[in-house]
Amino acid sequence: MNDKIIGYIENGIVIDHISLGKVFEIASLLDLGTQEGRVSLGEGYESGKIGKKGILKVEGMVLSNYEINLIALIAEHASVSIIKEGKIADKYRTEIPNVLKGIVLCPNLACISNDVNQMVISLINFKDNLFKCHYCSKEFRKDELRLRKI
Amino acid sequence: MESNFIYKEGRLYVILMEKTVKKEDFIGRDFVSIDDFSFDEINFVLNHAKHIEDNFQDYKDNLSRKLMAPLFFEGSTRTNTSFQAAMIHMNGRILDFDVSQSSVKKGEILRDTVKVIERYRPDIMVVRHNLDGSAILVADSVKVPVINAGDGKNQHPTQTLLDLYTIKQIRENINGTKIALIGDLKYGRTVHSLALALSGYSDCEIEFISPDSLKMPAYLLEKLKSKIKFSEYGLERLNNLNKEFNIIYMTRVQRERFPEGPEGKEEYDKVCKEYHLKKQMLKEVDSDFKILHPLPKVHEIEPEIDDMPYAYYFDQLGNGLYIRMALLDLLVKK
Repeated sequence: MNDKIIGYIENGIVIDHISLGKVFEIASLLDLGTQEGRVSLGEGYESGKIGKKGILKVEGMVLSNYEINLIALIAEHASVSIIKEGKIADKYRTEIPNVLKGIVLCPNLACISNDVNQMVISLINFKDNLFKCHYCSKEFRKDELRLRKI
Repeated sequence: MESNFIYKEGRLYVILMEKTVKKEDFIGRDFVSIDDFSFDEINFVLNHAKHIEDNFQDYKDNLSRKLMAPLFFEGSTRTNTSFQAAMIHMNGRILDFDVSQSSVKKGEILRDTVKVIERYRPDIMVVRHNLDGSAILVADSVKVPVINAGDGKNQHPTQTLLDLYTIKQIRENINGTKIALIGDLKYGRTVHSLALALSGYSDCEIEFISPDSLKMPAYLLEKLKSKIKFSEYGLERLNNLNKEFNIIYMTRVQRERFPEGPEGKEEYDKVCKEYHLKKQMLKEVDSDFKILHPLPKVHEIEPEIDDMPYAYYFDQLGNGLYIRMALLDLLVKK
């Protein structure tokens, strides 16, 4: 199957090599239902690198750092291409940053970063495939993550 | 490691040396987690506390005109009193901060409260709060040194230091200690920190003795397994206490750790019945065997044991004074 069938864009972003099953999760977190530009998404495309993959194309979208970090958490090593006037202006792989500020909530409900009255922005450090809360020092795995949706 | 360079016969030699801990290394630092201090620094604090205990009068003016802000957002009798006594014994002063009269009741966030208190120019803050991670938040928010006096169920590092100090007092050397940690090993922060701290010493052995529902968490056992020899037992092990043990460290089992309703109550009552150290269980122990407990104790130790030479928990609690004096003396800028 050729990914070109899911639509050409003039200006916007293409997120490729998304792990299978994660396209809709990313679309939901990026709130693409409210996008004015054309949104194309597809699942199950052949990929030499990861077997089956998902692709997402959004016309007229610019990703913030927060959104790039969100994508990295859901689909690490996906590729993001910035399209300008029909050409790839920039391309990079997403990587989970060493410090996640305000993106992931600490799974420890007794942590001060989860107390709404204290208005603390969560701060999670990522090292050796483990996430560690700066405040309560609890360590947790990726599957225990709770994403903070804006 | 510290390094030293020597140039000899046309060659440059780099000599790596163990870093020598100095008193000045501690000035102005926070102590919110036991990990804030290296192994050598922990031993330095223990030795400093011992020096204070042995030369108490020499320290009577060490914190003259220095001000401590005790910020106890959660009830504490022993820890708060012990910090205040530590300050007063060194001629320091204490800022009177009553959380019940403060803006906290009006909904002020912790960060703002401590920033306000900082404007009154304390030399050190001591914080206890019910939320995990609150001590780091305070330390991040102010410039003065902060000591964690217990943040929720997370850390209580001065308790760990006083436990180590007590073990050293009993045995003269922490290395080679054979200890049983008993009771609520699942939620008890004191036993978690103590087990991790002991894993830094050589030839120590731990027995974890608990009801099935309150066993040591798997992630902690994983952390310990390459560092210290340990084994796990049920409460029936209490009937086999013998000369192999130097120390047993008991903790309180709390009703709220069990499910609500009649089944939870039944399980709790069963544990209480089994988890009860009796005088007759101590027949086979060594003459220098000791029992520790972070206190308060409820029903886990038969009251008659309090008068036996094995009971060491009140001395243990008293050691908190020397440890807290040592920390205040080291962290406060003179």
